[in-house]
Amino acid sequence: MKRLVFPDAPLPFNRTRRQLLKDAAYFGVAAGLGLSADHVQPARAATLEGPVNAFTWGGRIMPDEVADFESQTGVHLNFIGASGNSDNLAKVKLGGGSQYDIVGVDALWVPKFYQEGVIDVIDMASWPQYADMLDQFKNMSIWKVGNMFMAQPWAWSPLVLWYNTKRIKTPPKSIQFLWDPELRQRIAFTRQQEDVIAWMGIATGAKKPYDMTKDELAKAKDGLSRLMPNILKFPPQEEELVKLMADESIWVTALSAGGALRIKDAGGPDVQGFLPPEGYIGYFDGDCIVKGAAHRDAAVAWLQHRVQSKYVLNNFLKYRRPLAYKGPLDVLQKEGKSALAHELFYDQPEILSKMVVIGPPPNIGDYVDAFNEVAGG
Amino acid sequence: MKIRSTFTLAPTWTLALFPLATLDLVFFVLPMLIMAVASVLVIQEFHVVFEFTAANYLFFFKNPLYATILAKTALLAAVVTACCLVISYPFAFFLTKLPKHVRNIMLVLVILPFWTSYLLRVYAWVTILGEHGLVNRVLMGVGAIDEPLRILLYNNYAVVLVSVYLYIPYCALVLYTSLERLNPSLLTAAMDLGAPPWRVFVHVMLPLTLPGIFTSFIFVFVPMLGEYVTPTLVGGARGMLIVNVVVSQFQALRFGIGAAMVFVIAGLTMGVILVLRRLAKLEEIFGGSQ
Repeated sequence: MKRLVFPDAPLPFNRTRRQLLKDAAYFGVAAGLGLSADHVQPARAATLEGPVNAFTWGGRIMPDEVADFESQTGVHLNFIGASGNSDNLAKVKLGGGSQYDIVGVDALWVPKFYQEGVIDVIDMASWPQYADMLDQFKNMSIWKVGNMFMAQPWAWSPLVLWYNTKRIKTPPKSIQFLWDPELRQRIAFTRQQEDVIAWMGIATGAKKPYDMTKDELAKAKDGLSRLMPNILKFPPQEEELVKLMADESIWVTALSAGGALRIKDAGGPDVQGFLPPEGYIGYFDGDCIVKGAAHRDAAVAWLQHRVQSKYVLNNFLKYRRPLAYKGPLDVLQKEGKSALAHELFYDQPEILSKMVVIGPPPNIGDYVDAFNEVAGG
Repeated sequence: MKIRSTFTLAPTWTLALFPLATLDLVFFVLPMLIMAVASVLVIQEFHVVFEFTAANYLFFFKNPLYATILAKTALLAAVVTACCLVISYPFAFFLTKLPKHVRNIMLVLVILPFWTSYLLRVYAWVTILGEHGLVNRVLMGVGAIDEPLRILLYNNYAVVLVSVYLYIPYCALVLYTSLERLNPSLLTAAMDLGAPPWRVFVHVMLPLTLPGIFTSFIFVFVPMLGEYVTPTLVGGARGMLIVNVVVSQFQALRFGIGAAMVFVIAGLTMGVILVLRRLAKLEEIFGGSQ
């Protein structure tokens, strides 16, 4: 069986000389033609063992790129929808590499997955597509072990407080506008307890909103108690927030960069985004290779395949949040879509360092208790 | 002779039970056993310490919040069950009085909602009760209100309304079966002896249909204790029920506490069923019918 060599895959010592010469010729021709990263199709003419079981977030897998990958490699891609970081961790712990090859993980959860021993590091620096990655991700020390990466970065975005401009005439200047009595039952956040409490931490002056002290947590809890009259509900999915904003059941919510466009697409009103000066939550996410993945080579081939600029660009245009790769920015500028890139923060990666990054609080149980005591009381 | 036939039948019975018993064992008994063990072990995130503890249960009982949420859930379940019984009982009685062909059509109509997805049925209510939903449009259309009513959705009333709608078919079908078996001559005899209608209902009809009422109670009350989707979709910010709390414990990687809470709910359910069984003296009723 012929196997393609990937920089981070074990060396296939069982290759014949004929196979090695054939591969060398292929890469030689590719290099001679000066093919860019976009043109390097990692798995063409190679036989990889599949399927790739990708247990990751929605918004990752575009039908076109999957079809291309499958036709080029003959490997089928199984997409398994992920629901939450803690759920993912529990499932990967139980299922392991025999069930999952790739797992989608958010920001500060990545080191936790690594500490729990469920993911492997990847030698991304040697991948042709590495040059296209934003510097902020190349230097993301929390995701690195030496020069190796724990995850392949994908999307990122601050969570913007979107407000209905028809209903809220005065643009807010502070996060304290959420407590305005005029907003009674007009606010909704997703039911992510630790994120809701972290927002409250930002509003009540906590130093580390995802690692609050007991006093800070008490203040955050009090903030949530006072905010409850203004909260309509805590839906489990972002899509419901979009719907509630669209039919004007709520006037304020927290959504990622493309919130305004998503609300507009759902037939909603004009909304304006607000990044509070006190701070704001944000996320970046990535895909990790599961430790002992049964189809590791094919999984790596998939990760390399999907970061080609044309696919990243399509993903950006469809899901409307910035990604971790620079290539599409040039295309957007050439196509006169710089304003869109700016509106969605794609050309402002410096925001990454200003965000309060979503992560598992070390005392996550205290966060959940604080939320339950307010919402269940 | 009797002994021989019993022995001959034994393997057949065993084989017949095998598929269900296997399913039950693998997908119910085994997971419940694992949960039971998890509820009495020290578990720090994913790391199990093989040390028995009651701390997971004490966590629940020491914090009055969780008992309050459980009581709130039980109250909500009781209200929904009571509403279902009150609405379904006369409806089921009415069904038994219909000509057979009309009754069959009505029975199909009762089970018609099952042909659509459960989720879809709950979402349908969002479009009916929402701020821009059917009810508000009609009320505004006839000039009854100037602004849309916001009290129709995202609160406990909405949870009760939608749950009653969801569980009525179960309740109605069980009560219909019970009422259909009721011998009408017993009611006639009671009335012939001079009992007014309310007395016939309280002293004859109700006791004889108690097994049906009890079964309906189980069919509505028990699943309502574990209801997750309806409160999540139509409940408000304070609409947290006990299952939401259990889910939040698992999300916080507190597997031991989550497992303990599951068994507290199961204990409550069993307790309520046993008490009702005793109060309703079902043994006598079932025994009598045999």
